Amino acid sequence: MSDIQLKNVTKRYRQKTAISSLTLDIPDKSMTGLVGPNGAGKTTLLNMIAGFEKTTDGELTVFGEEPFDHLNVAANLFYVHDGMMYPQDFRIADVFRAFQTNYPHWDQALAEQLAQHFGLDIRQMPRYLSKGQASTLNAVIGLAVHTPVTLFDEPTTGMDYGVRRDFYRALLKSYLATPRTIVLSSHLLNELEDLLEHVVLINRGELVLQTEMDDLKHYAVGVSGTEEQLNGLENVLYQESLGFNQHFWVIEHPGESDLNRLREQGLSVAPVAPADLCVYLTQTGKGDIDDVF
Amino acid sequence: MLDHNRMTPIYVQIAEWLENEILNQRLAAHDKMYSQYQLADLFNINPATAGKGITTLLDDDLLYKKRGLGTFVSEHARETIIQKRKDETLQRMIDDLVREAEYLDVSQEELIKRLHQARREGGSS
Repeated sequence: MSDIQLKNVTKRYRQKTAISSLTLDIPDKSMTGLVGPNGAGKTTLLNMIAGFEKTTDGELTVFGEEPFDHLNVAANLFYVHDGMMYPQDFRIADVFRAFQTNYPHWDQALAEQLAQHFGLDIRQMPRYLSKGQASTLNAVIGLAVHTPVTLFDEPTTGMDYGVRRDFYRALLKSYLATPRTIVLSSHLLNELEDLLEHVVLINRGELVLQTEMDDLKHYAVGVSGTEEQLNGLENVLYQESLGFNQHFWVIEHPGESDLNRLREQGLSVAPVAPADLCVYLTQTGKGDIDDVF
Repeated sequence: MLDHNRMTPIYVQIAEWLENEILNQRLAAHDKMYSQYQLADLFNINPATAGKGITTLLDDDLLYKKRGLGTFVSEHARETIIQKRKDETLQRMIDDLVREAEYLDVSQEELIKRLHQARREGGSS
């Protein structure tokens, strides 16, 4: 039985359904990416797993227990999110000390070295940090806290590319040293595709896809050609007109031999990056951005 | 070293890289294979993906396991890889070459002449 399990979990705020009958198992000791467009319900889902919010309906268990207001969950799960608050008069060094006191596996040396690497002065007060630096501090804490489960909600918001890259590398190194359950929500799936083992794609509060990253990379292919050439293709996920009677379709991977047949018919076949695939799978039916103009 | 734009999955690219390590004898018969954690660190990828690359070689009997000690390169791994590459990769390239030559109306003599020339200039064999 995995540490994080959801069965028909629903979360409603007045009229709005944020999460709708979601059933999901997060694999233990692996890195899972939680992706989906804005408003898909990623943060609500993480809030519930972390025990910050109650579920409206369904069964949610973390370490076999309902996480809301549960001490065991609070002690063994850490949630990195941008609402993290530190006491007004604390310096970063004080924050680290508080973590050292409260979390038995806290790695003080790692926290200090990462802070130094990312240019965070531990004598500084967190409330004076820039947006990117605040995200970096939160991420550093998430890496050093070493709880059996660590959740990151959009940890890289505001970080520049160099910092993001170093954070991903630090996350991998830290995971290799101490394999633990890590769930990461992000918009930047293309930057994470080698790092993650599993991907959970949600949209409008519902599960679209849960798969291994490797499988996601081969889930679909992009085929382009004329409409006559493309007609008759099966399992079409997305269609777009490129102009000049050229069309681009995304179809489920039909197997190598069928792909070769398509190539022989003069169609061009290209891989679909996981990040793009997630966009295609969650198109809201509003049409192409070009239709606006 | 990894190419994300190729259709080839990352774990297959890892397997190819490991085969190359055996081919160019950086890994000899009965040498200890890199661990999935070493590969994950080296290629900056998830260890599960690296592990899949290793499993591919295990499935092809290019590696063997010793209980509690780890994974090692099989006695005939290199020969097996050479034979496999000849039968698959090289043959596919030759097929492509012949097909292209036919498109371009290149005669058998010219094709062979060009092959000889390429080998001379390549100088590696």
